[in-house]
Amino acid sequence: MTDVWARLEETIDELSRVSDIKSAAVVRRDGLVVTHTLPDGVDPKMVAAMTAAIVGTSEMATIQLAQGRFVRAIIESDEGKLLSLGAGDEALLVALVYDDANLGLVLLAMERAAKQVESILRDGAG
Amino acid sequence: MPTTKEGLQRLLDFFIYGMLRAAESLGNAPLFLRSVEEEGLRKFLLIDMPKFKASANAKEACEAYTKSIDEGGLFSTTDTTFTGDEDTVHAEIGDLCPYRRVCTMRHDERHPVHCIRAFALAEMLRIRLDADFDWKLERFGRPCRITLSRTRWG
Repeated sequence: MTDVWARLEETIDELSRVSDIKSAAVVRRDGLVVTHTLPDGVDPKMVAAMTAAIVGTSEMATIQLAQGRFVRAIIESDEGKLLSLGAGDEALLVALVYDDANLGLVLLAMERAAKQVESILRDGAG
Repeated sequence: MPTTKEGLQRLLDFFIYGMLRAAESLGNAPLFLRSVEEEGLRKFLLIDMPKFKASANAKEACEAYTKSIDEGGLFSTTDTTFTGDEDTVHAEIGDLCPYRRVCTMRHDERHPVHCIRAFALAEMLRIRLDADFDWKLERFGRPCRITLSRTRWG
C-alpha cells in the first residue's frame, strides 16, 4: 500500500464520517476507482465510470452553454443525492448523501476533502 | 468486407476518428477509450488470445501481449519495442501502427492525441497483473514513445 493511497483513504474515511454523507469515493477522471466507502451491493467500478461520465458531460455542457467554470454535479433522487466534483486534474470526488441532508455542510466538507485529494496527488507526483 | 487493405484501413480510420470526436463532444474521451479497451480485452484476451501468458513483469507482459496481437493477425508489431522493468515500461511504436493515420489527423487538427495502443497496454496490465498503470505519450512522431508506470496511488 502506498503512502499516497493511505492518505487518500484517510481523507475519504474522514469525509464519510460527516453525518449527512452515506458514503464517498475518490475516482480517476478516466473512470477507475482509487478508494471508496461505498456499501456492499454497490459496484464501485460502475460508480467510478458513471461519475467520470457525469462530470465530463457536465463540464462540456457548461462550456457549450457559456456558463463559466464547472463547479459540481448534483443528482437528486427519491432516496438521496449524488454529488460529484473535481479534485485536481486527475481525480474526482463523489459522495452519496441522504435525501434530507444539509447540503451546505456537505458541500463544505466535500470541497475541503477535494482540496486535500488534490494536494495529496500533487505531493505524490513530486 | 472491405475489398482492399486500404479500404479496411479507411474503415478503421472512419470509426476511430468519429468515435473519438463523439466521445470528446460528450465530455470524456479517455473514459470512453479506456472502457472500450477494457470491454474488448476482457472478451478477447480470454477467448481469442488464450495462448497469451502474461508475466508479472510489466515489460515482459507488454512484449507477450504484443507478440500475440501480431501472431493473431490483428496488425504487425515488428516495429514495436519495449524497454524497462516490472514497474516502468518504455515503448517505441513505429509506422506500422494501424492507428497512426487517425493520430496524425488529430495532431494536425490540434486535437489531443489519445494513444489507443497505450490505453490497450495499460488495460492489459490492469487485467492480467491486477495493477494500475498510468501512461504518457512522451512523443508523437516516428516512432511514437510512450511510458507506462505503476500508478502512485495503487
